[in-house]
Amino acid sequence: MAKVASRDKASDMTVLQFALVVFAISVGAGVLGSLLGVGGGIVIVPILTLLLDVEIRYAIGATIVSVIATSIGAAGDDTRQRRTNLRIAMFLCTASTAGALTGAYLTGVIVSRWLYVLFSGVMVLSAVAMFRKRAPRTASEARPDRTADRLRLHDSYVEAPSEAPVPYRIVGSGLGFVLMYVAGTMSGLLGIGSGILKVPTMDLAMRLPIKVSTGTSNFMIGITAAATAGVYFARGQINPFIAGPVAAGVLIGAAGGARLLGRLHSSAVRAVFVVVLLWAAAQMLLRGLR
Amino acid sequence: MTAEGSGPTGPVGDEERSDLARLITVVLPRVSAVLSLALIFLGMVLSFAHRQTEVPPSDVVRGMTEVTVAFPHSLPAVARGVRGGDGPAVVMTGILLLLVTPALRVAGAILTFAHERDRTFVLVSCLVLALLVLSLLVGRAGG
Repeated sequence: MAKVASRDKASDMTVLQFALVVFAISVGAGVLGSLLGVGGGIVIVPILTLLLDVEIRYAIGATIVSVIATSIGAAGDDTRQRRTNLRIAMFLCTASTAGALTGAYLTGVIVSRWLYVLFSGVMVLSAVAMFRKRAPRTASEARPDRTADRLRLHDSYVEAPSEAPVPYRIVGSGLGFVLMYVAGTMSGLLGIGSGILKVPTMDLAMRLPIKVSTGTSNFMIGITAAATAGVYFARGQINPFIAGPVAAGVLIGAAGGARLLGRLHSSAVRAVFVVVLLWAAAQMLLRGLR
Repeated sequence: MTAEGSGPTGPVGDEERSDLARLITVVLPRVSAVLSLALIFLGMVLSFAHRQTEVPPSDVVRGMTEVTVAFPHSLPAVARGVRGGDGPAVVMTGILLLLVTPALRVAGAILTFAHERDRTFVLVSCLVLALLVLSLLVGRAGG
């Protein structure tokens, strides 16, 4: 990894200014991250590295902290409004964590350049599919899913203003499980945020309501990130002066984002997710072509 | 979930969550978040109170844009730093508290499912915890 010499932009700042800027950016990243069920790395990494000249190793360490902070900050409202389906989260976590292990094993075996391009294409297709399915589906449309019945994955969540429970049924839990394994492998292999792939999987394959997809993803991404956090800590990639303000900002932002998620209309959440998904696909394409 | 409703096809829509489940799913992350925020804030205040008099601020910022390992990154080092009132070590303690919380939540899920006598999901959650620990071990060996 090339050592980047410090440039004037960052050095002109005092440590306090630097910490406050990072904190403020992190509040925004936390709001967006918890709203969409992603860890906010796609926001934080470019800003830290490009705008503030932070070394990429520290930026990655801060991202891991940001993902976990998103997960924890969002937990209160996600749980209260029942957007986190604990059963689905645990069921899918076995697949995504096993996938992440596979991905880590495959790093060095597979040349991943074309994978970036391929996956950027998959993400664009997901974005198109998610954009098309904006209309809310009724429970009666759902096909039977015996695995979901047996594991009792169906549940209901609460919409904030009315506090009325909205029941939902799961379909395609088998397909979702397999795709979650693939998503986990890709995030381990390509080093991309896991939420950006988890949410479309739950949305498209299992037909969860978008708010339950993001709320359940918020729980899952914390577990995925925690699996690697110890390594980053031991390698000295978690710099307290960067990760500290990031953690504090994201915790506060994520709590606000989870509150906002309860109030926003589902189609708005979906639209924002599609935009961020396309943004992530573009970043990934650039990495593949570079 | 009540014991009566816990048959394999029983309804799960509107069951009352037990106090234990509430404690684990709502209170645990909140306590962790508040405690972590407090530690990070305290650590930052301690750092600024000391550092700005000792080191030119621009040097510290430069330290963040280059790879220098001048901060604690092992558990004994963090513990030593906290005992000495070292700001960065206190910040790191807050971060470490966050990092272990997801594992605690999985452990909490195991307890919740055990309390609900849901053997399938006790096993599923145990598998998740095992995979999490395995990832940590594999990562350590590789890194």
